[in-house]
Amino acid sequence: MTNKKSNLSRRLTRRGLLKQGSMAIAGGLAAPAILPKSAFAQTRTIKIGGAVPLSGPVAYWGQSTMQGFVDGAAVMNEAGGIMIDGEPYMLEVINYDTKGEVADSRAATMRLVEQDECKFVYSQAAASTVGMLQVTEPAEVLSIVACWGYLELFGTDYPLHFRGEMSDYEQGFAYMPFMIEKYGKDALKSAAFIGPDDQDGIDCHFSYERLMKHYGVEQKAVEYYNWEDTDFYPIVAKTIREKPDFIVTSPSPPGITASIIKAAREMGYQGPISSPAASETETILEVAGEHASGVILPVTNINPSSPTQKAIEKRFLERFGTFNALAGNYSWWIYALKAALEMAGTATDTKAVAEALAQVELEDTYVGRTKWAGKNAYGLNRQGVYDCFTTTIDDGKAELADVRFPDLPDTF
Amino acid sequence: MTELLQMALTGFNLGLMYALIAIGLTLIFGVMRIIQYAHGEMFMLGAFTLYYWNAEFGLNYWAGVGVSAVVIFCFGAILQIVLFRPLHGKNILYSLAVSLGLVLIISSSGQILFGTTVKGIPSAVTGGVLLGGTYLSYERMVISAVSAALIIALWFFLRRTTTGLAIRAVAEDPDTSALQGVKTRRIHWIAFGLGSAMAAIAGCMMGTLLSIVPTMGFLATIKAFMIVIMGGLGSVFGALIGGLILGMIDSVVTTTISGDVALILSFVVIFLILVFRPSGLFGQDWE
Repeated sequence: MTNKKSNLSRRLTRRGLLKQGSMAIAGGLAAPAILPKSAFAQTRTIKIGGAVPLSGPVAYWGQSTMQGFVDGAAVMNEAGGIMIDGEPYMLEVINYDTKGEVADSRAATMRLVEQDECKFVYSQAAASTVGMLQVTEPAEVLSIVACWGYLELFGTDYPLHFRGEMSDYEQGFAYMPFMIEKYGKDALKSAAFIGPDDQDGIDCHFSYERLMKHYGVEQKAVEYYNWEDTDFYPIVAKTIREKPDFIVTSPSPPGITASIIKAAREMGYQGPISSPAASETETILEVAGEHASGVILPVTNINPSSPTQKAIEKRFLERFGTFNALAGNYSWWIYALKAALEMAGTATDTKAVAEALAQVELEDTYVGRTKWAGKNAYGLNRQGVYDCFTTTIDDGKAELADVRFPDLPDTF
Repeated sequence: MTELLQMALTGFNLGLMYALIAIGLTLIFGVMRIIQYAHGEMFMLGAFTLYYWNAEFGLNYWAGVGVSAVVIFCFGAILQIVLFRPLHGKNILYSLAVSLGLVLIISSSGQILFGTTVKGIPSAVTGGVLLGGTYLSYERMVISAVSAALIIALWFFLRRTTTGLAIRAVAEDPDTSALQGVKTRRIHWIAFGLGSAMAAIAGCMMGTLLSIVPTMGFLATIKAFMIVIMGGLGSVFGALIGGLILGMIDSVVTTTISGDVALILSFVVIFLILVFRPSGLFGQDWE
């Protein structure tokens, strides 16, 4: 008891406090020389900005993209952040809604770059990408997007710009070999293209043309629809009049693809219909109903089965309450960026990070193996390429039918 | 010949559905003299009501169409009583501002409530028959029949019932109708509800045939306005003819030339009608 009281008194005396305080200050000043640097480093933050369509017609895609970054950042932060040049960095993801409009995307990106000081940004779909690129390249900000069209805004003039989603062109080197195996080369001698009457549709037709030429497929019909079109009977009637062996609907969203499938089947067309953009089996099954058959959906994994895929699905369901195939597809971008930041050893030199990112290859993501390619096709390795999970719909039933890395030609 | 018949059938089917949307809009304008920009949103809400009733809860399709019509009738009537009635007789710009606001509110709320993914309403009727190379889809035939029956029913309602007579009287001359004992306020909400219900049924039909998304209302409004201007503001018969003209242009021109030309031609036809008949094909000259 005496000892205890004595100890307590000693702790509370003014002299004792002063003595201990002096020792603490002295120890603190001496510490950097004694302890490892990392123990005292202030945790820094890397801000990653999203200028994505969170409302409007393409909000589904924008929200899926955002979820990949928010989830990935949370996972990395829970693990202590990412280490760059021996120092830990936490990730902060900031998102602004572009409504899928060029002007809104430009404004959102300017806010991300100038106000939030983001050095790394991401976007989704053509209009938002166009708006973003007006800001990012001049400001030396690295961007990762999903955009298939506007090929003049991609390549050597945009060295900090990466396209993380395989376009219909890259997907073609996976789905065409699969279709040839499934239906036989003789059953796929001619094709028709149906796409939207905008720059995206025109650019995707350009990719489709190159692809069909590569596989020696005759192109029989090219039809563009207006976004204002309500009924696809007329355009499908015109297409199938040319009797193509198969139809490619690129880059048509799931609802329109389903309407095209329904119209084609109702009018007796029996050939396969491939849709590189309509990664939503549920919508196709709902809209096309009994007519949903002979449908090929590249980059659509309806059956997440690997431990990584299952873990991502579980986390997304817990974090966002929903999970879809597209969100999974976009989830690897932030992991590639993390690898690039660590490889480059800088969080500020975006040119160095871009060079590192182009080298990044990941083995176990939601989409399997990933890498950046396209040097011969676009001038730089800035196009994401990964295992293509192809789902088919036959007789109203969707199933994962094929997984393969695109068989890219030397010209890619 | 086969292709022509296919085009004609598609155009007729489309035209009837367009007419169904446009008739609701023209009815509202004829009675209340307001431009209801949120008419397409009624079309969208009607489709989603059926979607939840039928696709989500698995309840009977045709009962769902009825429920959708009743729900949207009530919603339209409430909107008229709460928002548009206080603006009656005032500058048309006020009601225009309110209806534009409604477009944004309903469309954005739809995206929050229903999500942004495209959805489909399962078909109530499936299959079809090939007649000499022309495919006749049972679903399209039923939808055409239902649309035509509704238009005829509305025509009879307006011509043969007391309420219909009152609606026409208010549309013709609201002040004299009121002096004759017609309760114009009651007629206003009935007409607004009825017009909204027509749009809702059109949404159910087109939603089943195609697909549904919360932003689908905008295009429906544009089409409806094109038809109403073509047929004449306030004319139910004009809306029917305008709908059929637009449906035929959409079908025939898109199939034979392209969708772009069809869109251009639709507007050229509207311009020509306005030049030679400024009040539309069957419209009257509104002051």
